[in-house]
Amino acid sequence: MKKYLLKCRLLLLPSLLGVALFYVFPYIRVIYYSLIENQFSKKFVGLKNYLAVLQNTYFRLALRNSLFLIIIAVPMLVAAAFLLSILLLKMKGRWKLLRIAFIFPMLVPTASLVVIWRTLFGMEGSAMPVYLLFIYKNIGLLVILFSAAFSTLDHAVFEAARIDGAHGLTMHRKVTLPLIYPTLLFVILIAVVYSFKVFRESYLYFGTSYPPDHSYTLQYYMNNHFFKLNYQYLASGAVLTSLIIYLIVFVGVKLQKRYTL
Amino acid sequence: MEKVIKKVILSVLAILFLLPVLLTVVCSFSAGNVDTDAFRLEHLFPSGLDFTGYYDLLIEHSYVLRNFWNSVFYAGAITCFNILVSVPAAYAFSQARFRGKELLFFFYIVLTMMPLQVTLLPNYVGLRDMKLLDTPFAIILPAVFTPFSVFLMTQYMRGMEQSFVEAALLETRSVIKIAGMVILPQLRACVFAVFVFVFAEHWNMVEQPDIYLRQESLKPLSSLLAIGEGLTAAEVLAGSVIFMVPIVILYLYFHDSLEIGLESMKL
Amino acid sequence: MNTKKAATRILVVFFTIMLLCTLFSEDLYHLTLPKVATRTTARKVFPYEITGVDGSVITVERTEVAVPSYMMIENSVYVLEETEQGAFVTKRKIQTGKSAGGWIEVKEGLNGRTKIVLGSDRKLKDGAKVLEDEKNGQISLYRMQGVQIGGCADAKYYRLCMRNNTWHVILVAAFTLLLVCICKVSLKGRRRILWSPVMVLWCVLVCFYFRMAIVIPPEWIPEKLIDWNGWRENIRHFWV
Repeated sequence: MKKYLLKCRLLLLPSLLGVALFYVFPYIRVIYYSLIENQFSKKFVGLKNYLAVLQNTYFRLALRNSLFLIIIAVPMLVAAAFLLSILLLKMKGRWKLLRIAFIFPMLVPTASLVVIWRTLFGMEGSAMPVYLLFIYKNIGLLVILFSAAFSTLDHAVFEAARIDGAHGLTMHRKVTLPLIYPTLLFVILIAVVYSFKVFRESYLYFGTSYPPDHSYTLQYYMNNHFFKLNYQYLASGAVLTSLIIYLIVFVGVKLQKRYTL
Repeated sequence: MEKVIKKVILSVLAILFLLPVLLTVVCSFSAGNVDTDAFRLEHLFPSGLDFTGYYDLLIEHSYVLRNFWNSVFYAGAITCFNILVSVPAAYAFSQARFRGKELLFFFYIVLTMMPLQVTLLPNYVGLRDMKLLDTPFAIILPAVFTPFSVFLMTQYMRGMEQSFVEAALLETRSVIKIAGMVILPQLRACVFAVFVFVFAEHWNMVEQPDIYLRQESLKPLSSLLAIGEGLTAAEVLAGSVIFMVPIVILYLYFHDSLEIGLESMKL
Repeated sequence: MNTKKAATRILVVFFTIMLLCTLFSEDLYHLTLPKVATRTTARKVFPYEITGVDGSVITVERTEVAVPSYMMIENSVYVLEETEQGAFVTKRKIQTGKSAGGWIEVKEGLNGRTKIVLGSDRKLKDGAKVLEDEKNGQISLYRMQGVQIGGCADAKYYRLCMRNNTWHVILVAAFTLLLVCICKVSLKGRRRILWSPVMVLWCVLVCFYFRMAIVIPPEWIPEKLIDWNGWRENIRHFWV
C-alpha cells in the first residue's frame, strides 16, 4: 500500500515540472520585475512601484471597471444561466438538444461574432454591449454545469417539497439552490474567471488599446504597459490583479468547506 | 399549458442565440468586397448569392490554408499532450497522500483562474531566453501544462468510488494495472470533456500567437481572423465559417460526454 | 441519422475539401486566371477638314494612332503590360477623336504599338493578372469565316464573354448532388459495394472537367447567381 502511494506521487512529476517552468517561475519573475525600478537599471526599489501604480488614476479607473464587471455582469450571467437551466430541466428528447444551441456562441470565432455585434450595437453608449457579449458567450458553459449538477439530484426531494406546497420559482430558490451549493460556487468562480478573459472581446470590439472610459479594465492597463515596455508597472499591476484572484479563490474554497455536508 | 410556454420561450431564446452564427454563415455567401471596417448594418441583409469570399480565401489567397492547418496542428498537439500530462497528475492528486497536497492543489486552482496577461510577459522573456520564440514550441509548450485539466479531472476522480481501488489494491500493487483497469475506464467521459474544452480554448487562442510568433506562416487561423488586415469582410466571414466547422463537429460528437464529465464539479 | 455518424461524415468531407484546396489551389488559381486576346494599336488614316484662308474646305488625310471601335469600354481601354511576374492589365482612359472605317483615332493616352485587350473570358479588374491567349492572331480570320472560338461568334462577342469561373464549382456540386440522389435511389442493398467505384468515377469525371475547363455560353450566366436586389427593383417597377 505504501509503495503504491509513493509511486502515485511520482506521477505528479511531469505536470509539476511544466507548471513550475511555465507558470510558477514566470510568476516569481513578475514579482521580481515589480520590485525593481527599470528593466535596464535593475535597481531594487521595494514597494515604490506599487505605490505609484495604486496612485495612478488610470489604474484606479481600470480597477473600478473590472470590479463593476465582476459585481454586475457575473450575477447577471449566473442568474440567467440558472433560469435557463431550470427551463431545460424537464425537457425530454429533441428539446434536450436545444442545449446545443446555447453553447454555439462559445464555439464561434470571436472575430466574426464581434463584427456582427458591433454592427448591431454601435460604439457609443455604456459598456453594456460588452456585458451582453460576455453573457451571450459564456451562458452555454454555465448551463451545462448547472444541468450536470441537476442530474445528480434526487427527485424524491422535489416530490416532498411539492407536497409541502412549494411551486415554481419558490421551490427552486429554497430547495434546488441549497442542494447544488458547491456547484453554484464553482459556477460563480468560473464566471469570474471568464470575466477576466472578456478582455479579448472588448479589445476586438473597440479596436484600439484605449477604449472609452467605461470599458477600460485592468487587462488594458497591463497590455498598454507591455507595449510601452514599462515592465515594472505591468508587473505591479499583474501582482495586484493576482492578489484579487487569490482572495476570490480563497473565499470560495472556505465557503465551500463551511457549507459542505 | 406550462410546458407549451416553456417550449415557446426556449425556442425563441435558442433562435436568438443561434442568430449571429446564422448571420455569419449567410453573410459569408453574400458580403462582397467590403472592407472589414466598413461593415455596416445594411451589409447584414444579403443582396445576392455570391461565392467570392470562399473563392478569395481558398483559391486566391490560399496562404490562409496554411494557417488553418497550423490551427489544427496546434490545437490537436496541445490537447493530446495536455491530457497525457494531466491524467497522471490528477491521479496523483486524488490517490496519493503527502504533506502539502491541499496547498499544492490550491495553487493549481489559483493558476487556473489567473488571467492571461499576468503570465504573458514573463513567458515571453523566458521563451526568448530559451530561444524558442518564433517556433511552434512557443505556443505548444506553455499551453500543454495548463492546470485546468488537472483540476477538472481531479475533482471528477474524487467523486468516483474508492472501493474499487481498495479492492484492486488487494490483488496488485502496480500503479499501471490499477489505473488501466479501474480508473481509466470510468474516466473516459471526463477525458472527452477535457478534450473538448482544451481543444476549444486553444483553437480560439489569439493573444499568444500574436505576441510569441512573428512569422505569418506560423500563426493559427484564429489569430489571423482576429487581426483581419488585408482581408475583406467576405473573406473574414468565409474564414469564420470554415473555422467553425471542426469545433462544432467536435462538440456535436462529444456533447453527451460533457454533461457526464462535469457532474461533480466543485471547488 | 445518428448524430455521431453524421458528424464523422461531415468531418471527413470537410477535411478532404481542405486538403484538396491546399494541394491544388495553385492549379485552380491558374485555371481561373482570365485569358485575354489582344491586338496592337495601329496607325490608320483619318480624314481631316481644314478650312483654307479663302473659305474652301480641303480634306486632308492624317495618320494617327487608332484603336478598333469595338474595343473601347466607356472611353477607356484595358492595356496589357508584360512584366517578369506575368502579364497585367491596367485600365486607361483615352481621349478619342474621329472615327473612320471601324477604327477610332486616339488623341491622348496611348502610344503606338501597345497591346490592347480585345476580349477576355472573365470580368477584368484594374491591375489583374492575366494570361495571354495564343490564338490571338487568328481572331480576325475566324471572324471573317464566322467560326466559333470558345463559344463566341466573333471578336465583339468574345469580349462579352465575361463569366465568373466559380460557376465551375457550382456545376460540379450540382452534378455531385444529382449523382448522389440517383445512387441512393437505385442502389439499395448493394449500396456499400458499388459506392467506391461510383466515387472513383466521380473523381475522374471532375478532374477531366476541370482540366478541360468546358466553356459555357455566356448568356446562360448572370453576374450574380440570385440577385435579390434586382428582383426587388423589378417588383417595385411593376407596382409603381
